Amino acid sequence: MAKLTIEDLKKIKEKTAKETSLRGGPANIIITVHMGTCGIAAGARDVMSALMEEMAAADRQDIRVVAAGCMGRCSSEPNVTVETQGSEPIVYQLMDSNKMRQVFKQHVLRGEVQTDFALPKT
Amino acid sequence: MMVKDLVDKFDLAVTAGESGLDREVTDGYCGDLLSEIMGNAPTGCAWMTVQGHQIIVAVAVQREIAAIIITGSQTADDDTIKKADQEGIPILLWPHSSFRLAGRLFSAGVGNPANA
Amino acid sequence: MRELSLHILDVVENGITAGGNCIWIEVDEARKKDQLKIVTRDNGSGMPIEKLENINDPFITSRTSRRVGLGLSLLAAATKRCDGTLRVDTRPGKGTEIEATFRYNHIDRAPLGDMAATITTLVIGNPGIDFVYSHCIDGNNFSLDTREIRTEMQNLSLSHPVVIQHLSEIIHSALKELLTGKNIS
Repeated sequence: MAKLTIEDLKKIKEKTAKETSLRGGPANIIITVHMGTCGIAAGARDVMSALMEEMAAADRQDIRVVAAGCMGRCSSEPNVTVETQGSEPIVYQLMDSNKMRQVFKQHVLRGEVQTDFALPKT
Repeated sequence: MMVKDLVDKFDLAVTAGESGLDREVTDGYCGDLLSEIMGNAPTGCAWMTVQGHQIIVAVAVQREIAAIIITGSQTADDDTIKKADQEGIPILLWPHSSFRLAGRLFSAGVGNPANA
Repeated sequence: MRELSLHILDVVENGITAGGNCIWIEVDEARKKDQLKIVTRDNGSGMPIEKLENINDPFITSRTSRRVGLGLSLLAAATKRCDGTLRVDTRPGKGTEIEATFRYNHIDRAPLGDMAATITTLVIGNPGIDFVYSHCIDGNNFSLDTREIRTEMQNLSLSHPVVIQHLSEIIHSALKELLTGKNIS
């Protein structure tokens, strides 16, 4: 049975050798992509793929991505929650890959909440 | 428009969920891929489908669908009727295509922005 | 779902909530036998008896946020549509195994779709969980075990975006090779 080869692993190590800090440090920002059945049916995997690409480009050590289950708001899926330390979590609704990129670049990287896509606070 | 109005206007047969005939219909939707309905069907819609398996009731509860209309002379399974009665979700029958009924609903103002 | 790989993502995410720390995913495309088989296994706490007895009843769910648990029911409907079967084996405290089969060439059989996206989504989204993914096409195999990768990576997290990108590329090219009949060794 073929497996991930030692060559592949070496290549990964080389690419990431430039990192000076260890991963797994404290996370200042947690991005949760909700992956319940309705989320996946509405396109949550594409949202996650876009987020992964943006994460790779941003190269930040303090952002963590997590998949969570249904949050009970099925009609607004895909939902994405952004929690920044010291701020209230923001729930983004009806997300797609374009909106995810925008939220990442503007909110996660620059701190500007994208109110157009966010669940309004009561 | 209420589900009961659709029944009267388009001569639809009521096969289950009679207790829900007074539910409000605010839109319409067509589709047979269950996951796609779960992702996209609007709340309060009349959902036209050829599916008759009991899972359609679960999907309707999930998306807060007003009524299910089974088209193309298809019928609901016995389990489906039981579940729909329990949940109070009307299942109606239409002998022709989803397309034909959708056109009529739309012309009558259901889910029609021109009528908003 | 529009792709079977989305069913896999759904069912596995569900399995993770049962509390295990390792998930096995096997895809077997036996094209000459006209069969597609998907098996997922977890080492979690298993399904409650009530759910097992009502496996086809989407109204019984362990979730408290809403009444309907649809993942397995959607998969069951998908297998039924393709002359296939769904088998669920669960033991409280021991974990759950789900086997879904489909007639490969059935016209209603959804494409397998993007397995790389499903696997990388699972890996990045569930940092504490290990995944063993194996894919077989007409007897030619490829597999990936995150437990082995972790050992090799030592201090580097599996969730590092560059690692994820690399995993994605590896899966894509491996599957391409399997499809051309090449045995990866």
